[in-house]
Amino acid sequence: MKIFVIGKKGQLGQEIERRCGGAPYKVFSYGREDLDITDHKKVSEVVGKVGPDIVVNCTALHASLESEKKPGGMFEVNAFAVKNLALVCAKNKIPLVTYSTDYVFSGMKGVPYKESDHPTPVQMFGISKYMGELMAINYCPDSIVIRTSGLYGGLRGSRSKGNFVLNLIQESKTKKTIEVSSDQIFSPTYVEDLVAASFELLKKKARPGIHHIANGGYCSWADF
Amino acid sequence: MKILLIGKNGQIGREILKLGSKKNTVVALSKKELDITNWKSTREVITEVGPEVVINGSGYHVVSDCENFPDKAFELNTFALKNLSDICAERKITVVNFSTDKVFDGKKNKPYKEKDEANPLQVYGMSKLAGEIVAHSYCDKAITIRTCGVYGGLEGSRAKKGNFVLMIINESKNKKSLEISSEQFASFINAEDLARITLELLSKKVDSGIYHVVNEGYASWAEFGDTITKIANLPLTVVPKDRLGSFSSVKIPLFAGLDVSKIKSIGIKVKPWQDGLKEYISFLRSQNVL
Repeated sequence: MKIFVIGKKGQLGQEIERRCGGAPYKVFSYGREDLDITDHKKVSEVVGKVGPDIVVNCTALHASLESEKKPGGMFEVNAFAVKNLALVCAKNKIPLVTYSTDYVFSGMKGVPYKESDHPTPVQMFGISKYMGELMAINYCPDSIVIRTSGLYGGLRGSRSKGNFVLNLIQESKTKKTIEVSSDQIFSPTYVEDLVAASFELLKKKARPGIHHIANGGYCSWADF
Repeated sequence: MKILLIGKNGQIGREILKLGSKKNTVVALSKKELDITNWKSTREVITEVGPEVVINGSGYHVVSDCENFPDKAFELNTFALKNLSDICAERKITVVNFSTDKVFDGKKNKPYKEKDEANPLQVYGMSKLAGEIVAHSYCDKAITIRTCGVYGGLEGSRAKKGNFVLMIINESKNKKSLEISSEQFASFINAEDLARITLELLSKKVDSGIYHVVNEGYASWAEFGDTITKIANLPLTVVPKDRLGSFSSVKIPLFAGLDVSKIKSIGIKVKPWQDGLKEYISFLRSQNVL
């Protein structure tokens, strides 16, 4: 089985590569340097050349103050590039797996969100990811969109911000106490579990559409 | 009320300027005079004008162009509203934006209510839905008016080079029959009614939120076209044609009727779509277009 992974340097991409490094899988993975996901023509060419059985999109541009002021670049990666991938996958008749986020919700529900809850993002990042979901599903009906939350894993975490666990370990070296927000509740998720559950979904031939994958339960960042 | 109208030459903008100027001070700017994708000049203009209400009549509306240029569609329909909403929130200005039936997938097969879940099928609808979310996330005085099948004025929409009614009148000059899709249902509205209801919503100081505004009812485009030929006495036969939902290869909702019970419940009179059409055709007659 040929797996085409985009975003190989992120915590998710690295874990997929690690887990699938061997038969029956053959992973073709690309980082930002090898394949710019916003280069629609190039992506289409490379996918066509490799001829994978599945495309897994692990790229994302995360929320930042800058992207609130200039959302274009974030939408390029989180939405328009996903539309192109979806069109490429539909054309090659292969499924697209793409990851999304709890940020598509406003957080006003007060109990854990289900897949059937209406997305209600409240900032540009969540809106861009929600648009990416719609583009995946509407341009490639076989898409599987996996929403996750509070991801941590690997030795370095994510490229842009490490991860919360690593950051806390780091802080402990120089500080005796640290303030962590107690009002924001989420479902922390270990990247190994996310990838294992993603593959289980695929093995079980889960229906296309949206699936929530997170470790069970929830807590505040302070609890965590 | 001091209103800043952006997009005064659009199909909606023209009618708002005409009707709104009777009781209000309307500062009207064309898309050229104020391009809302320029965040800095938008801030400067709003600061200088100091309106109580901003009505944004600009938008990237051509569905097939949006498909090819999602960056441009989002730039105007979504990102610009982030800036506009921030400014209006800071200055406690009510901001009105127009949205579309194309935020829906059409699978409901009954007129859509404001609270129905959106699922746009194409870039245009996605950029407008994202714009709605942006408007309401960043400004608690935002009003979103979803409409559908707008026609009005002597030249219709500039971007679309006319409107459906004018197109039918034009076709009747050199054709005897015309195929029109019978599988796509929509609601329709006379731009004058849309402007009147928009101003009424503002004068009633309605709550922030989404409002569906169309002339009541729905029809297939074939039926709408046929009704135009009958009211206007055109020598043109409409041939209903099932195009299986394709519209220059972009997917659009097969059923795009909008439910107007929310605006009716707050005391706004809504005409049936046939009456809106009759008034527009009388207007065209009075202007010697017919």
